[in-house]
Amino acid sequence: MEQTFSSTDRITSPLSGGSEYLTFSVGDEEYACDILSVQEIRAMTQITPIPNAPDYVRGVMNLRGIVVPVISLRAMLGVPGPEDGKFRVIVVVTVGVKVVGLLVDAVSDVLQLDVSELPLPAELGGRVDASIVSALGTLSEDEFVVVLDVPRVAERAGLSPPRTS
Amino acid sequence: MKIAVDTLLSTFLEEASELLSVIESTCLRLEQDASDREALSEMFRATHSIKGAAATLGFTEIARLTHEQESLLDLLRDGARELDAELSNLLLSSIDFLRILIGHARNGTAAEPEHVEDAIEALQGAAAYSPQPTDPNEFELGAREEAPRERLVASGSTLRVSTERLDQLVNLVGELMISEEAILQALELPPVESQARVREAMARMTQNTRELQALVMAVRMVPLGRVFARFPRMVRDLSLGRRLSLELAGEATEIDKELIEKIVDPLTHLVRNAADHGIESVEERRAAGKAETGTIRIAASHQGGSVVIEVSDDGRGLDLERIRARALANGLIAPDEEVSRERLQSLVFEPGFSTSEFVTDVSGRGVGLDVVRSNIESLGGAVSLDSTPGVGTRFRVRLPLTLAIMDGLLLRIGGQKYVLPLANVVESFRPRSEQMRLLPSGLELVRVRKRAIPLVRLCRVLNVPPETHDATQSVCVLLETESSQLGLLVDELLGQAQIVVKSLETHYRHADGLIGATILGDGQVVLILDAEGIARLAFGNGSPYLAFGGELEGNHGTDLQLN
Repeated sequence: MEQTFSSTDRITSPLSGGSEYLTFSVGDEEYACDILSVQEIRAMTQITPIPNAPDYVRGVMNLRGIVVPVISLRAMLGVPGPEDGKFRVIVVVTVGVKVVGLLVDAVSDVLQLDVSELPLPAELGGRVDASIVSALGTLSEDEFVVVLDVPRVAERAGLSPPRTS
Repeated sequence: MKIAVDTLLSTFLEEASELLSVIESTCLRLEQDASDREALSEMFRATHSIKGAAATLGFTEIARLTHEQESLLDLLRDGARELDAELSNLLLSSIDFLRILIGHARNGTAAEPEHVEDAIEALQGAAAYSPQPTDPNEFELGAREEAPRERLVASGSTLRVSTERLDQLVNLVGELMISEEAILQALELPPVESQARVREAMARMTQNTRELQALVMAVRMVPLGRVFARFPRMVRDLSLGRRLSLELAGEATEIDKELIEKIVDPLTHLVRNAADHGIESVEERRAAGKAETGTIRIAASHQGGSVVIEVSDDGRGLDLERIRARALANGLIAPDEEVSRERLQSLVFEPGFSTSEFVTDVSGRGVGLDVVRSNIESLGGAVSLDSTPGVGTRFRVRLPLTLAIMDGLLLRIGGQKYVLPLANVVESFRPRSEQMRLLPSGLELVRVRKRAIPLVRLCRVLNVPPETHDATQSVCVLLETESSQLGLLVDELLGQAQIVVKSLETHYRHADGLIGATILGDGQVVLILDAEGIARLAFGNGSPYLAFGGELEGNHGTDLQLN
C-alpha cells in the first residue's frame, strides 16, 4: 500500500497552537510549507529538461527509480536572479499520490508557526502570486514567512490531477 | 482473521465478476439458440456459484437475487418455459443489477432496499409465468439504482497466472541462485583460475536474467478475449430496430495487462460507433442490395512487435462530402484545395469532428474520435481508418505489446539525450545536400530511394539548441508511423538499448511528443520520444499531412525533380 499524504492530513499538536512547517529560502524571502507534505529533502541532482514545458518546470529527476518532476520555486514565484546557490536543495513533497520536487535556494528550519489566514498584507501582495499562498506565518513581531499551498503549487505546475482508478 | 476475510472477499468479488460475464455470454448464446442445453447448464452453474459464495459471505441481497434467477433458469431447464425476448431482457438486466450490487459489496455500501425488492419481485413474477405482455420498462431491474462510484484508491488489481508459468519462474529463480553460488565459489579460487570461472558463471547468469525477464513479461500478458467479451452484449443492446451480428477473431492474442485496461474505452467507442452510426437500418440495407444483417468484425493479431486490432463494419461508410464541408467550415482546408480521400478520412480524428455527423443524422454523442486517437497515442499506439462509401469502414488500432519494456534508439541533440522507440525506426543515414530540398512553404524534404519524405528538425520541435544547423553534418532517422513517414534530423546516434518505460503521467502529466521516460544505467533520466506526437508537433495541430498535405501529395511517391 502506497502511503500518501495531503495537506488535509494536517495534524495539530495538542500542546501548541500551530502545526509544524519546513521553512526555506527563495531569493531573499523566507517561505514555508506544511511539514506533513514533505517526504524528504534531496541534494541537487541531475535534472532532465522536458521540452516545451513552462520555465518553472525544470524537468524530471530520478528519485530511486521513479521519475519525478522538479519545479523551480524561484521561477514560479518570479524571484529574479540566477539559480546557482551552493545550498540549493530539492524538497520532495507529496500531493495526493503524486511526488514532486521543489527546487529551493536553501532549507532553513522546522518551526511551529502561528498562521494567519489571508488576505496578504499589501506590501507582499504585489510580489507574490496569492493563489499559491495558503497563509502567513509569524516568526516574530515584524518577521513573517509565506506559507505555500503545496497542492496549488502542483496544480500551477500543470500536474494532471491524480488518477481516481 | 481480518486478513482471511479480506482475501475471501476479494476472491469473491473477482470470481463473481467473471461468473457474471459467463452468465451474460451464455444468455446471449441461448438467445441465438434456445435449445443449447450446454449453455443453459453453464449459466445455471455460474448462477449457483455466485449464490453460494454470496450467502457464505453474508451478501444476502446478492444471494436472494441469484436464488430467484436460479428458480427462473430451473423452469427453462425443465422446459416449463421458453427463453423469449422478454425473459432474456429480464435476465440481462438482472445481471446488470447484480453487477451494481457487487460494486456496492466492493465499496462497502448498500443498494436501496426498495430497488432490491422490486428486482426480486420482477424475477418472481416472471417465474410465476405471466402470459400477457408487460411494460418493457419493468425489465429494467433497479434501473433507478445508481452504480456506486469507484473508490478513489485502487483496490490493488490482481492477475491470474497459470501454475505452469509460475513453476517456470520458480525454476529460473533456482537457476539464478545456482549461478550466484557458482560465482561466489569461483571467487574463492586463485586469481588466474577464478577469472575464467567467474566469466563463465556470469554468462549463464546473464542468460538466466534474460529468460526471467521474458517470462515475467509473459506473466503480464493476458488475452484480448477478456476485452472482447463485453462486445456481444453491447452490440445486442445497440441493435434496436436493426440486425447486427458480431464476429470476433484473434481473441487469444495476448497483450500487456496494463494496456488491456486502457484499451477498453477506445475500443468500446469504436465498436459503438460502428453499431450506432456505421450499420444502416434493415430497409436501407435491403434497398442498397446488401444482406439485412449488418456485420461488425473485431479482429486482433500480432504483427511484428505490435498488436493490431481492427474494428470493421459493412455499413454505409463515411460521407466524404460532409467531412469536406465541415473541414471547410473549420478552416482546415482551403475552398479550392484538392484533397485526397485519405486526408479527408483522417480528418475525422480532428477535434470538433464526429463521425455520426457524416454517416447519419443521429445526433452526435459528444465524444469524438479525437479522444480515441489521443487515448491510443498515449499508450504509444496509433489509429487509422479506411472507408469506402456504401461498403463499410475499417478502423485499425496498432498497439505496442507492452508498455513496460521496449527497444529504443538512443540519440543526442545538443546536450540532451533522447530515446526513440525502435519499432518506429526504418533506417538512419547522413543526408547529402543533393538529397535535400526546401519547398516555398518552408517544408524541407529529403529524398530516400526516389520518395520525397518530409524532414523534421528535432531541435525545432523540442526547442533545444542543436550542435549544428547543417543537415549534412547531422543524422537523419527515417521514422514510420501509422499515418506517415518522416525523416528526423538529430545530432548523433548513440546506440540501441532495451529500456524500461516509466510514465511521465504518474507524477507529472502527459507531455506532447513524449511517451514517457526511462532511466539509464548511470541513473540519468532520458525522455522517450513519441514518433506520432513528433509528427504532430512538427506539422501543426492536425495530422501530419494537414499542414503541407497539398504539396506533399503532389510529390508523394513520384520521382522528385531535384535541381
